[in-house]
Amino acid sequence: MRQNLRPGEQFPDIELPNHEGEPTQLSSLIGGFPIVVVFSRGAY
Amino acid sequence: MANYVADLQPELEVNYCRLVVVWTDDPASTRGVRQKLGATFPFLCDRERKVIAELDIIDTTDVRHPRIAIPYTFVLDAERVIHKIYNGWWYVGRPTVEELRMDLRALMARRRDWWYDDTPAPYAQTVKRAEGEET
Repeated sequence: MRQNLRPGEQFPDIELPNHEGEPTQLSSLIGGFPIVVVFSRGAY
Repeated sequence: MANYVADLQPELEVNYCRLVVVWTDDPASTRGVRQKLGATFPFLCDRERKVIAELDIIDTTDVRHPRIAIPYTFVLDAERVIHKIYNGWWYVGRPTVEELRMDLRALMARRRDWWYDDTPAPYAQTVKRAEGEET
């Protein structure tokens, strides 16, 4: 894992297509509140 | 993830906090899985492995599912500052609903409006003025 991914450091503002295929920036999902970012290997 | 849908999602719908899943499926198959799960939170599709490569969290050991993400979970505050990292490489490392609830509570408790304040909120002051009361 990248060295600067540690508590207290800022997570990058990643941009990916969402489930509708629309480009989506992480910051646009936050809306001023905490967020949990789950990197998943499958739907279990 | 079914536990997040069953037990965390109903709370997220009223507690203002968010959850997003990042994985390597394409949007079309993701829509189907999301619908089957009954999830209302968004999924982001890293089909090209762009983000997981940038974060250096690609699992290269799984020959059946090459180049998928090591299952990390990040809890972030509203400025994307990392509050907690869960390393889910072993299943037991993945956060429970209760652990996420505690993390989100800790972050929400930093808010200035976390505690009740008997100063009338702006909307209440507007109501008082409308009723002709002294403000």
